[in-house]
Amino acid sequence: MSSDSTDQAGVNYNEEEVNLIEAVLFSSPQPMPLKDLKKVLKSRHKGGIKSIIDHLNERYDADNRAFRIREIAEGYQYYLLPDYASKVEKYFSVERERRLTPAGLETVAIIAYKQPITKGEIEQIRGVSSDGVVQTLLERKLVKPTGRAERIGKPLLYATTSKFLEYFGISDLTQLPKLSEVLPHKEGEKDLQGNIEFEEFASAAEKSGVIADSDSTTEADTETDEISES
Amino acid sequence: MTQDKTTQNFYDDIEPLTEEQSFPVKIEGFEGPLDLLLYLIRNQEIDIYDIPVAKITRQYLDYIEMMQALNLEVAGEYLLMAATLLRIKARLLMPKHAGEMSEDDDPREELIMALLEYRRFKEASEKMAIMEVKERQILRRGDFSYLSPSVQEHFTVDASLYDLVRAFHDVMKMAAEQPHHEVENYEISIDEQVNYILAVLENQKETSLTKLVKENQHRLYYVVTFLALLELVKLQRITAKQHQHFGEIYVIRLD
Repeated sequence: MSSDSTDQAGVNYNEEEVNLIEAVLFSSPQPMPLKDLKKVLKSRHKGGIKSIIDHLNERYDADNRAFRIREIAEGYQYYLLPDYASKVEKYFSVERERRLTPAGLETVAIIAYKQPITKGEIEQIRGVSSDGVVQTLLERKLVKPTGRAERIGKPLLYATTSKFLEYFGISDLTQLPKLSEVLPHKEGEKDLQGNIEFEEFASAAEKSGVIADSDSTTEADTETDEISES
Repeated sequence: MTQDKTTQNFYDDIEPLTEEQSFPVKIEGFEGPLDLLLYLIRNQEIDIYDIPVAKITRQYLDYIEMMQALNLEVAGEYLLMAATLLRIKARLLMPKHAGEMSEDDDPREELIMALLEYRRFKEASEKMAIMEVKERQILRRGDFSYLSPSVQEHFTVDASLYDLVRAFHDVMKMAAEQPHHEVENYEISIDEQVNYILAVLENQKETSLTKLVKENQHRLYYVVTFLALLELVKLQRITAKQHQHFGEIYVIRLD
């Protein structure tokens, strides 16, 4: 058994580690969180888990396999290439949830970009009462209550879940479509343009004087980095 | 609707819209008054920052009236918006006193802001709908986990009475092969079978119907077992599920 392999870029991979990651991912029906994958490897891999996954996917590409690994919901998971998915589905009755209604999509979008947000704030944006639709989103575990707002009545605050990420096929909130700008800009409005570490991001943006709205992800990330470095 | 009279007066003096100008009658699901307004604005390529309030108000009210004429329930929010539109229109009609109303003091501003804010989420949700559809075409590793028969959550279809009857019919076919001519007294009661089923389910959470019934028994045995099953379902001691229609039926103990 050879213990190492080298990819096109000439990076060395410990075969044992690569296989271990492959084995763990293969066994996991849910997306395997990155932090758990890191625990799998005893020593810290030089290129990180991501490079091992890329390496595996390169192999699958080269061998023309029916599956790949992809980043989803802050983790990694095997999936079938679309061509095979449609074929395989004939043999298994894959249970799919109903699609969201336009009201459901609208509401979950508002929660995703504005989280944490109260139902009252959602209703203000939508212009209609949203009891039922928020309830449905809760039942489908796409959103969850995360606490209460510090104001009269202490209304519940809602945020999206990791199932939300899975449902829309994204690895984190930065992959949501960009919100269009609203001009003139309202002062004091803070939008979550897809940053997971919302508070960190918001405070970083505040400190650096960046308005936390519709910044591109990379910009937001650099801002955060700069702050933490300084 | 008490508002109707007043609203009528408000736009009676406005020139009626020509056929071309009036919006096409279209019944579709709007998510709320903002959605309806956006539709009217988009449909006529109106500049959202410079909404002709009189025209839009008229169309909006036409729409509401139409919904009422069709006996569709008009949610309170729609009526509230109608009132808001009329209020804005009234303010626009009021004579401007010099210096009193600056450019910033456009009575439409609040509405425009609400529309713009709503629109960006509406647009985002439309993009997310595309992501949703794309994602549904992808088969992920976990999508197969339902195949494990040991977990009750994975049962997908509630077996209906019809399914039970059909399954029973299959079982009866098995029994029909052996004709019986003797008249015998069968010592089997529903109570006995109820106890038998409960005993089987004592140590396991679930079993399949085929495993539950013993083979090569008299028809009466199957009839009584079936009745016992129905009795237990009625008493909510057990439930019946299946993976798919016409699939094997599983009997599951309810705790």
